[in-house]
Amino acid sequence: MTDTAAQRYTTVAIILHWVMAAAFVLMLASGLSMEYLELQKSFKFNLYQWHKSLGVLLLAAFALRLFWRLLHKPPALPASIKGLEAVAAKAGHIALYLCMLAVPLSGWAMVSSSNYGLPTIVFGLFEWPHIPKIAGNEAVNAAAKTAHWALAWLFIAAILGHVAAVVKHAAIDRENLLPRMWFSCARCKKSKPE
Amino acid sequence: MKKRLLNKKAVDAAADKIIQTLQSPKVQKRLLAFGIAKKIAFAAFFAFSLATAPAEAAEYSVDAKASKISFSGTHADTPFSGNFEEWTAVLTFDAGDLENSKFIATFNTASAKTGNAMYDGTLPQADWFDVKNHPQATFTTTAIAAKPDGSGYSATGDLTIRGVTKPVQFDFTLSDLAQSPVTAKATFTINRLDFDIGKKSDASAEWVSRDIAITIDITATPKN
Repeated sequence: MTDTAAQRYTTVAIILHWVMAAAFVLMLASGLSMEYLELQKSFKFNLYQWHKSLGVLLLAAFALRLFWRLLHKPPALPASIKGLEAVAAKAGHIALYLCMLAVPLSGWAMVSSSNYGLPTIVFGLFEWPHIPKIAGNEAVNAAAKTAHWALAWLFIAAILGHVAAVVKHAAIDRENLLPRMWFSCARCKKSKPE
Repeated sequence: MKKRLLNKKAVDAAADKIIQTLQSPKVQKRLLAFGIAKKIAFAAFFAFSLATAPAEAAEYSVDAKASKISFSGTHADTPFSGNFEEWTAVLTFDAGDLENSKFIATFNTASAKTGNAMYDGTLPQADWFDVKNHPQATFTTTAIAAKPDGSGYSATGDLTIRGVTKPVQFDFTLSDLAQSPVTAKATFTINRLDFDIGKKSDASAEWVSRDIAITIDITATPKN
């Protein structure tokens, strides 16, 4: 039986993981809605402001997460994952980190270069500055818009792959990896039923 | 009896005759008429001099604190409204001399406030008021005419926003000029795209209404 305690992420990493995961689901849902659904104007405008506000918080959370990650090495991959699977696992996590950074950054660039010139007021509390020097730059705006959209879809693919991998290891390999990313509890510690 | 050039009797007789003539009803009538005529002539001259004297349309001091210049429209199907908080105006008006009457307002575009932080942070930007390049907007009347039905006046003037000048025309009402202070009110609509306002980001008026209503409510007192 594996020593799950040694194979667990730190509590801070776990909290950041689940809070940001929930937030990203909201971001993707709202983003897709604004892009593909016919929404009532006033609702759509408010949704944009919430989406931007949460995006700012996620960018700050990512900075914290990256900082934490550099200081606390995560547990090694289980021995059962090797070869191509190990490469895929690594690539998947790199993709997730890339998206967590690039999606909000491209969104920030989009807002900063928009002709609309709306300030970003995070949940009505404080103003988040625009990226300087690109105000009204239509080329940057077009590029940022495309990047934001493409990276969002890449993010969806990476998340689905991430979840599918956990399900695959649990269902097919009979190895429950969830305890690695969950708080200590009697039930969670056991990876196989006694 | 000494011979004199002027015979006293003759002089007396002449004097009597003059007095008699003066006192005669005919002469008296004529004198009366002359007196009245004098008064009429004087009055006429007075009126004439008044009418042809250079007209001095009354200058008014506009009380910016008691006045308002506001704007309104819709954004995302939600109505919004705001005021210009910093502006100055000159009002010269004479109901009998509309040709020399005028209203000139200069307003600081950066002073546009709706009370909504999002809107107030957006209005000064390059695609909206562009306050960096156009810190002021102006309105100058070019003609004022009284409306034939007596319901007020009509003003034609040049409105300049973002360096774009367009003619506007609107009706305005004036309170009783004999009472001070005087209030002038008007409401008119402009097409913001005529002034390139929001032209790059929202030319189709998908978000911000194309029509923006402007209301002016001026309180002024005559300068003495």
